[in-house]
Amino acid sequence: MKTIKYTILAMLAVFLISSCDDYLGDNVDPNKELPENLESSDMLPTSIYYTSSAFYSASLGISQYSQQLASYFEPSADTHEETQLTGAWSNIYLQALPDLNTLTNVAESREESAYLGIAKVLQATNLGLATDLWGDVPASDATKGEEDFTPSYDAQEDVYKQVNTLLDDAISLLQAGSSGSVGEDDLIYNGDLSKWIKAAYFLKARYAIHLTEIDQNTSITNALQNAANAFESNADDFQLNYNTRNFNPWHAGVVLPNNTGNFSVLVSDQLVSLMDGTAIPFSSISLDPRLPKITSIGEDDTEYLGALNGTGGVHEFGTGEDGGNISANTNLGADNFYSSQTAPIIMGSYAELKFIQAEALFLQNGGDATSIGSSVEAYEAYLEGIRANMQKLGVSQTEMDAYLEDDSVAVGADALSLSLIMREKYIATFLNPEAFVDLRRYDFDPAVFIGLELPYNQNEILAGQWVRRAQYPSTEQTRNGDEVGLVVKEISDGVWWDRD
Amino acid sequence: MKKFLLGLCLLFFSTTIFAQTVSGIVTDRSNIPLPGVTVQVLGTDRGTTTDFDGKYMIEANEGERLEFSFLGMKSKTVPVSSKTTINVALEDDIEMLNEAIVTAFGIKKEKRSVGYSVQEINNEELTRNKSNDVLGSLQGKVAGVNINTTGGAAGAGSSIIIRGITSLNPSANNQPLFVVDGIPISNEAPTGSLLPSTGSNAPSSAEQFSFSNRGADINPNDIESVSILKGPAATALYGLRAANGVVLITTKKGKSGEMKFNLKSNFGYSEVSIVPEVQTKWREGRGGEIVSIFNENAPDGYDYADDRTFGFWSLGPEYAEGERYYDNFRDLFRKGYNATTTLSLSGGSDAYTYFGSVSRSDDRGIVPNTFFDRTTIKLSGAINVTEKFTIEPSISYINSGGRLPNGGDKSIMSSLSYWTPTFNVNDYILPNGNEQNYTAGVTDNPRYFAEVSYLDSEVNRILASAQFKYEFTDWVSVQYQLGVDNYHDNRYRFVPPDIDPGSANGGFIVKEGLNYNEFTSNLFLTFTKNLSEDLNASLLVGNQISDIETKRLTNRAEGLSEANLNDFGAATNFFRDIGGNERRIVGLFGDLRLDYKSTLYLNLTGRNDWSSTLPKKNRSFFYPSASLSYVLSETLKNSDALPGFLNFAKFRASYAEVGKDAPPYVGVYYDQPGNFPFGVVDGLSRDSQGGSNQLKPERTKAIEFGGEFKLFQNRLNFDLTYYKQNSEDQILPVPVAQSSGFNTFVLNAGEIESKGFEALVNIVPIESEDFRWDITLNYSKVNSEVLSLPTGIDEIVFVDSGFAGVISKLEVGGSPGDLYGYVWERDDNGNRVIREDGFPRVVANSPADRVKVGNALPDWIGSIGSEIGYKNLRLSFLLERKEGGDLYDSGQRNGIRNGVLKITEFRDEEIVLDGVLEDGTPNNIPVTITENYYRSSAIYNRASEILVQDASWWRLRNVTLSYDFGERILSKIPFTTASLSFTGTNLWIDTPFRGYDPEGSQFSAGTNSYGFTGLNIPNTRSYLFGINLNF
Repeated sequence: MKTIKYTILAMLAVFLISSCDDYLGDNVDPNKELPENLESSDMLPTSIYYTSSAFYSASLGISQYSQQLASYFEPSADTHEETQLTGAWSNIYLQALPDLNTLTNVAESREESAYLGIAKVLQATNLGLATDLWGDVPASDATKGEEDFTPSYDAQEDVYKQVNTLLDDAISLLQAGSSGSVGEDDLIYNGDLSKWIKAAYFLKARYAIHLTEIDQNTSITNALQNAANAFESNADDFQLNYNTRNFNPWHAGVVLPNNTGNFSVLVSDQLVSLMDGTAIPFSSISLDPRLPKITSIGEDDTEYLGALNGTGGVHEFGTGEDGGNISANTNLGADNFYSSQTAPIIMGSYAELKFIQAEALFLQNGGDATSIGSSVEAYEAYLEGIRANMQKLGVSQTEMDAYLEDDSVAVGADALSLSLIMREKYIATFLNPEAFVDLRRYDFDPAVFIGLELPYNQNEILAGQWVRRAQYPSTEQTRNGDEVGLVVKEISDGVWWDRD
Repeated sequence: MKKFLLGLCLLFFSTTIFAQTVSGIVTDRSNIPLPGVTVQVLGTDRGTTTDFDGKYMIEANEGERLEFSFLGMKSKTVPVSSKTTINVALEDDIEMLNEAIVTAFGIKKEKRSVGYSVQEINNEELTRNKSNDVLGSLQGKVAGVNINTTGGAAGAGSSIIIRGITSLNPSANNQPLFVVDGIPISNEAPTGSLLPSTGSNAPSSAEQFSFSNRGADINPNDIESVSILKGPAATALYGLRAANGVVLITTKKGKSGEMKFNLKSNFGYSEVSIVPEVQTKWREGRGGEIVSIFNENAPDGYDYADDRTFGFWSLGPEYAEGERYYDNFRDLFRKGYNATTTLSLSGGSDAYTYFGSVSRSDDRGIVPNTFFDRTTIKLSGAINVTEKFTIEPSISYINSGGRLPNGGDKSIMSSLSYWTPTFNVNDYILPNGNEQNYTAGVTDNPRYFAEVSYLDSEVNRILASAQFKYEFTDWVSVQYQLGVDNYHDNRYRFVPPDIDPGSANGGFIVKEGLNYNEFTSNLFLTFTKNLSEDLNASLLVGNQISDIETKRLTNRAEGLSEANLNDFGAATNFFRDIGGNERRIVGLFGDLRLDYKSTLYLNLTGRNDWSSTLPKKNRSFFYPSASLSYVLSETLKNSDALPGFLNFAKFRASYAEVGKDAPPYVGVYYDQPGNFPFGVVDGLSRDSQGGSNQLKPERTKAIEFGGEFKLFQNRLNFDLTYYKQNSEDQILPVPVAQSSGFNTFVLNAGEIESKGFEALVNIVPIESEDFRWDITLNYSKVNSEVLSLPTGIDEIVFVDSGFAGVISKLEVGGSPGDLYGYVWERDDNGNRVIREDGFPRVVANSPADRVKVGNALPDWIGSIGSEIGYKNLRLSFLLERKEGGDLYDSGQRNGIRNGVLKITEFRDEEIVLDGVLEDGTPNNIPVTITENYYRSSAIYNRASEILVQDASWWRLRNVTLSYDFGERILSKIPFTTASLSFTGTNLWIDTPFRGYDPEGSQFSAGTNSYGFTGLNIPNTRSYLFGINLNF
């Protein structure tokens, strides 16, 4: 009733004085915040959340290219159809980077160096992820809003420089700064800046090792140098833990829909064959103890049957009852390490770091794709990576020891090969776009990735070429066509660091 | 106008005494007494008017002649004989009936003076089809207006588009402004925010319920007439909110006299109309083998063969002897019932009049566990405080709501689209209380879904207004109106965890409150003056202030407690979201009308608006209109140049501009994402839609030409209109490259041009004392073209069907409603190419492979309405044609892949498919069609040739047969008039479309997304009996 009265009065007043600006107000949404009212702690949680989402969205598609996963459908990314990873693009450009820009602005204006340092680590994480997926991407002109609705694309080499600059700046800011008010809003490290510094070094090591095809020596040197300052244990892992309110996206996006018939992806035979003794036979064990931790089979099933890539879920052709096909049975389960309700999204891990070191040391020792034997340091890093990953997944000590003592694993430094290191890295980077980087760096070489083959029903357009990048999203092609036109490539063309 | 005449007539009243007193009752054709009819003894100054019961008494001599005349009726002359009782029934005069017409701000104008197209529908015509909803009542009756029922759910909304789609903005409101007795009211159909935090897997899934549009709260029985103002010239005075046209509703007013009652009651039933045809040859199963075997004791009622854990498909063996199939697409739906009763009363005296009505409508929906009901109460009056001062207060209270069914993605309808004909969908519950479901939860049993999950919505609404009118002199008057429209929609959605939408979040409950409050203040001064003998002028200047406020409060609980499933407080996770906005508009306007010799009429208007939603420097804007009407037949009245068969000819022309403001609060904002707080940590994120702070008003410019012709004693009448309309500087969320940090940014950009032609033809082939036949033809056609899009933008996507590939989008040179999709590979001559394996291929390597495959909007729409009256019996019907208009059926692909639909019945047989081989010769490779053919997206089910269908139709919208009781019976019952009627709606539909009635749309009224259907609750046909009593 009061409002009615006031409104009537207001209306009459307006009519009488015929000045309506006050009556019409300033047109600001009372239920939302304006940029000038923000705190750093408002922006950090969402920046982290969307960065993590980007890793999930990218992996959902790219893990089919890397054959960790397969699709229930064909044609799909699994048969090397073009994938645009639109979810990852929007997580990065529409959400994470704009929020990080805002965080940067707020932190700068308030001289909060800790927030600024963290923001730069996360910016580097996003740009690094984007450029490895799509090649040349918007970076220096990106997310400027009204200033530039059609950002130009930076060459990947330049994006890598920007990533490293961001990380170097971050390290000095974080080393100088005190954590200040950073606390529970830091969903990753709860305000522990020393861990952010390690994460920055880890990322520098990761992006260094990506450049083995550009300049192997520099790449190795930089990787090893930065790795020395990076993670020291699983406790340092760069990951976002989900909770019973915010479900892990693999759980919400794959496991739960599977329960209700909205099938999407299942586990590839390529991964299963590396973990059940098919690709590299075990001597004393029958199964990698990590396989049941990360995948699930039916209650009555006894054997893990991965899906042949490109078949829409077939494990084996023509050998079932009545000559039918045997269906794959290995899925991401509701209780698995990567796909339970509260599972983390791992953006970087101590185990990955150890395998970066192992590879770098292996190469430093003169190793190549087919050579056998390396240094003790390389072998130690290899074993430590396995241990770290097994502990992370909750493998029991007994099972871990059995695996580490199996002849196929405990080969000794003299018999270490790149294929063993990369097998372990492939397993440790399950559901991480990093696996696809490694495949590309070693040109899908079956000597390095044992058992790797092109998928069935491969996209005819590729004529047997491997797919090496994601395509720019349609939204980008139709709304920023001129700029995209300058950089667009076939999906079988390698990115800058992916030389033949 | 009537009142004015009544007053005039009273002045003539005289009581001179004569030899003989003649008396009687004057009624209309349906025996309703007519008060205020002028009764004149020809050649004398003796005259009187009928009283409130239509009775009159006059002194007249034998041999003299009595003339009975009344506005809108044909005058009748009767000789006075020795009989002292003369009862007269007057006939409607078609020309006269159209004469006065309600235009902007309730201004009544002579129709001949109006320089733009406007069409008025009176109560009788409006309520003929017994629809419960104003828009439903108007279907097919107005040229240039396309009204569609969005679905067959009880209480479902209707969408109305006047003169096509003129916006580049997929979500822009395209609905006209609804004005009731001068006060704008809400006709929104707000969808609210009813999804869980896990969202849904399919595109556009926000459209889950067919909400009523709030215009449906108006009881059509309370309406005296509806005027449709179509173009900018007609709506210019209403300003920016009327850019999509105006539906101008004039409600019934009290008539002075003793209290009179009217009782109208309709009751009947409805059923689903047309449904997709199922294949009747192949049983449930897969690969030609049975999968699901009923077992009452199994957890979901079935055992599964071959180590399978669920059934799903209808790809089994042929039905065995004695097995039957079910027509589940029809059988899921039950008979709906409807009963509506309106009791209205009116009366008054010289000092005041009053009108009141109470109505109650109960609908039982065709979907199990759904209903909708509406109660309305309306009171209005007019008080003549002094001769010069009148007050007209009015108040309505509406309570409407019910239980609404779930359509769209993950709904009753999506589940049904997969369901095998082998198992009865209504066997949904096992003796142990579990869901019976042969798919083991891959999809829900649609009946079970309907029974356990629901959305309740209850709307309480008050419409109140008061009008004050004071006449300073006979040529200056002032009028002030104050109006309020306030409603609250209280919603409760319950989704248990055992059905699809609840499975990913442990079940959820949404409690949502939507508030709408609108205040309107209208003030205007009217001046009318005869400037000379030949030139009349009238001027209106006014001010309008509108204040519209909406609020939404959404509370959601997820992770329901197993012990207390439907207990909000017992759930695990809680989410809360608040939204809403306020918009204020101040307008000043003027309207000048000049009338030269009742032959040439000129109307000039201008309006300036100040809107709260535009940046301060751009918030004031002006727009003018001019219209001209020339009555040629008046000029030629007494000349030979006017052919004898031409009774009336008028030409009209107009030019108008209308400005339009922006949505409220355009800018760059930060908000908590829907799934935050993360654990317990709050966070803010920038909205992916931003907006410029430099917006200027959007403009529509229109020219219109038209003519009206009456021939052969008004037995053949034409009304023709042509218009061209350009909407430029459109304010829309421009889709921008996401790498800019925004997905859309609200800017002024782009232009659409539409051109249209409308024709209304009225024919009276037979007219005699006992028999009258009346035909009305209606035709309209709109062509729209996108002239420009924002710089750098190639396309604007309106709707995306996801994997199937069909999208609705706009490109420069395209038209609103354009559909694009993947098609079969074709050679240069357009022949389908058949590959070496004997099958075609769908070209779908990247989104760029999509081609234009249709347009969702009709090429033209038309209708034939007819009424045949013989004595007391009347038969009327309305036949509608929609020519063209393509639709994507979202459910069809499910039914194809699962082998449910008739088009998948051809199986396990050899055929040579139509097409040519790669060398251009006709295909000669025989292939066996198996289930894989239908299941393959590369070969079959992603081809737009299959997915997008022509949705033209012929439709017998309604047929009504009514009988008015005659004098003989009426004299024995206590009613002044009584009639009975039967109405059938959608009794016959003829369409090539293979799905449900293609009139239904997947999207609620009010969005610009067209071309998608199949997962909405299907439309119905209905049968209603009616009774109408006056006493």
